[in-house]
Amino acid sequence: MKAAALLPLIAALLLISGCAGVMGPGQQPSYNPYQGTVGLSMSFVPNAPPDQVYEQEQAPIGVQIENDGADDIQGGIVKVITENDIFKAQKTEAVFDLKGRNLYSQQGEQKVLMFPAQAGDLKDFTSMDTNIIATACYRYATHYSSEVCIDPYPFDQTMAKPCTSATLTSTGSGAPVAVTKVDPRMSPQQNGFGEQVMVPQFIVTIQQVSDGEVVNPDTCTQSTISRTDYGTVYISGELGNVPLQCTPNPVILNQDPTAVDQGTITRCTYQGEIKQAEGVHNSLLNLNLQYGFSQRIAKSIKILTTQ
Amino acid sequence: MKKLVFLLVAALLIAGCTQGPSKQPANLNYMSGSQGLVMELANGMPPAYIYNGDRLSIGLTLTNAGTSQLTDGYLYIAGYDPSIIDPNGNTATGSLPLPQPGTYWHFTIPQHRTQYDNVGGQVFQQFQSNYITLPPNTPSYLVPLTIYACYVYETHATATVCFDPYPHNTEMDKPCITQDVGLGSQGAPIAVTNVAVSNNGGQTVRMIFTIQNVGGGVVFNLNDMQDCPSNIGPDVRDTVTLSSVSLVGNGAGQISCSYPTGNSGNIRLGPGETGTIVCEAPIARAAAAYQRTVQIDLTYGYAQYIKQTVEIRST
Repeated sequence: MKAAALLPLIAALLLISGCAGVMGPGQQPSYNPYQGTVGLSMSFVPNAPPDQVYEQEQAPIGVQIENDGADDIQGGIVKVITENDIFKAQKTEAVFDLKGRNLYSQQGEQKVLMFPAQAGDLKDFTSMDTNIIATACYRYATHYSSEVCIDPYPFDQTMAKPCTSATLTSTGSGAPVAVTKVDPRMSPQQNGFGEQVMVPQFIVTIQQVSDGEVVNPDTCTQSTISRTDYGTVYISGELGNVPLQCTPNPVILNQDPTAVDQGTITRCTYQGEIKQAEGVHNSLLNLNLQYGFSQRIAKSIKILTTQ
Repeated sequence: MKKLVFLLVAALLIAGCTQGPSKQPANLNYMSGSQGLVMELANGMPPAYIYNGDRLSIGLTLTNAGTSQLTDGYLYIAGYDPSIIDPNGNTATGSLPLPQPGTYWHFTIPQHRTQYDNVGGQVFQQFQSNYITLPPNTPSYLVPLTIYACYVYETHATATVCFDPYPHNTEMDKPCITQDVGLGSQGAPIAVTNVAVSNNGGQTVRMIFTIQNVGGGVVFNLNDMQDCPSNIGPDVRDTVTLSSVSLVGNGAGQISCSYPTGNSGNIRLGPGETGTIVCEAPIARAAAAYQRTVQIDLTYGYAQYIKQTVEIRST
């Protein structure tokens, strides 16, 4: 009898405890990995090589790399460059894969690449300074995503609209190349049935936002990079789930280091039509930039004589 | 015997639960209020956020909280991209697909507030989309869901006006005196708020009816329903049609109204969403001043909306 009397109480407690597990809107953070301006972070491992190395001494070069961006790297290449007469690396190249940040991981993968190296003979010198350079070249992608208001009645203000069309700006999308500005335009046209329709267009500004060099994505594996390969970015995109066509494509970014980079512009056009009756709505503008990226770090060490 | 008692108690309980119209106390002030249609989203429909691959469910309660029949209503759901939230597809039992952008769901709610019904007629409708498909590399998508209702509605107002054949005679004790009549609202989003009454030398009574949009929505010409909600331009909005104006009761006479040139039958609301119509009625030869009830009926299109943002999260 007592157990029966307790049943409603137990049931109520179970219900209350069950309710506590339900997450409200503010309780579950949705992590956005598409932020920031860095792709790969590189640094020399402390004491690898040390600041001072004696002649003929083994001193491996360690390069620590971390994918701080929001794209995965596959087949990236790190090369070390030394003055071989003074400090020679026995292995000069390593290929790496690194996963980037994503919706489930707020930190990308990191690795340490070791390059065995040995100091040379100083001959008549008591010490000598030399530079060690590590370069990385990898394919990378920028995934830009933003809500964009599609307003087939841009001049009509009579009724409260679900959203308002505006220029979009961004500082970075978790990659060294960013879509920094998107200017939505509505292009009125007539379709094949003589109906007045709107074709959304987006004036997209692309800028390099991190130190390094943008290269054609196919050139990382090549021994030499030609002048025309620099600054090449391929762009594709969708509005909602409908593709966009961008012109020009590829986009060639400004490579003049003496000029102020205002960004490079391309125009992306919706491959469909929006009838005026469809009304104002929020859509998603997704732009994908594909490029290669090359960056370097350098360290000066001193080779000392043992005599 | 026990069975009989049980049945008796059950019958009494059931009878107690039943509350027919005649059991409710009459509310004689029911002809007031500034609302026609009231739209409310059901709790959690839609929720604040859902996930990619879910369906979007919208539960909507429509209440005819006014005092006229709502026989021609159009509901639009806007703000979403149909290439991401597919309005079509299989839907759960009892729910409808989301109306495609630019298309509507037609509704009627003939039952309205009366002296025996303080709530008005209600319709509950659930809408459900197909599975949501977020584009790749999209962390989230904010949907400013906006639900518009466009409907035809009516306002019925009555005012008691004094008709005085001897306006200049101030000596005699008159049954009524010529004065303005404040009306408030009539259980509709368009209200006849005031009647300014003046006597024209004992020959006619001039009545200036003040008409105001008190419902917070947009009023428009009912002949332009196809332009609602997206294209209610200045040429069609703020327009109310005067359906009829008459003197009611014994010995009712003629009443005529004047419109601005080229605007016959329609009243345009101006600043403050207020407009006026001027009507005039002859005063009968009578021994003393007398009262008449003036009835004015307005018809119009009305648009209003509710909005809720839903976040679609990537999985």
